[in-house]
Amino acid sequence: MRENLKALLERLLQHEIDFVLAGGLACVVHGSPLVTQDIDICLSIDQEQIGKLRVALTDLSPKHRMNPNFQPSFLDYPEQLEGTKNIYLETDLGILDILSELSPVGAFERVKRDAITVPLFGYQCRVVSIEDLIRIKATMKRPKDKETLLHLREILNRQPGKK
Amino acid sequence: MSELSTVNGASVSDSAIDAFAEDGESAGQIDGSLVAFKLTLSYEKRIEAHESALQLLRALQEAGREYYARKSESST
Repeated sequence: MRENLKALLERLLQHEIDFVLAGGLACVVHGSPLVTQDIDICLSIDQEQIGKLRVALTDLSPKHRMNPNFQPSFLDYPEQLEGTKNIYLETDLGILDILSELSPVGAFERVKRDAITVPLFGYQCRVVSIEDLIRIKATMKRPKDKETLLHLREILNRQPGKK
Repeated sequence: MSELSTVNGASVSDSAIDAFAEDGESAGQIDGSLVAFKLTLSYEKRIEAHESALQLLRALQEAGREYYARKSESST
């Protein structure tokens, strides 16, 4: 199967997973000229959402990717979700990172509260607000995050009604 | 000679990953597994993956453009 991030994101929307698009892709929605090659989503890591996610990804060989020596299938690991904050997956369609919290903004419900909603592939997709993305990027130290922070601040400053 | 890690059934030089981690303040913040995953791909596959990412970026740019156009209309 070919890598296809568009199809991967579309599949999450089709399966009505309650998530907020985060990371570089969220920055792109707000107009940041960034290229990124993975999908970051924020969601509540609970039985309902993870169950839906497993159904959505079932034929995509989803596996945990952070430890080269331990890459179990996401379809049956972890069994217990308590204490699981983030899940980093590799699927046949591409990389998918699942985050239960975006520091320093907060957990899923807080992120969702201020998220914007955009039309995408015939669905409504929640995206982290530009204000929250700025808060997040301001705490990161990678050069590419610092550059993205400059873009986001400038984009926000140029919005009508902003000084 | 550096050690090889197996990612996706292919071998990747650990030194390729370590080079990122040694980059001062970036240490510990680079997703080494993502870099390793990309390095296992053939040239053709890497271009294909990049094109796939670009297609999604274009769709998201369009979605954002629509959102901000609507927002601008409603504020005037």
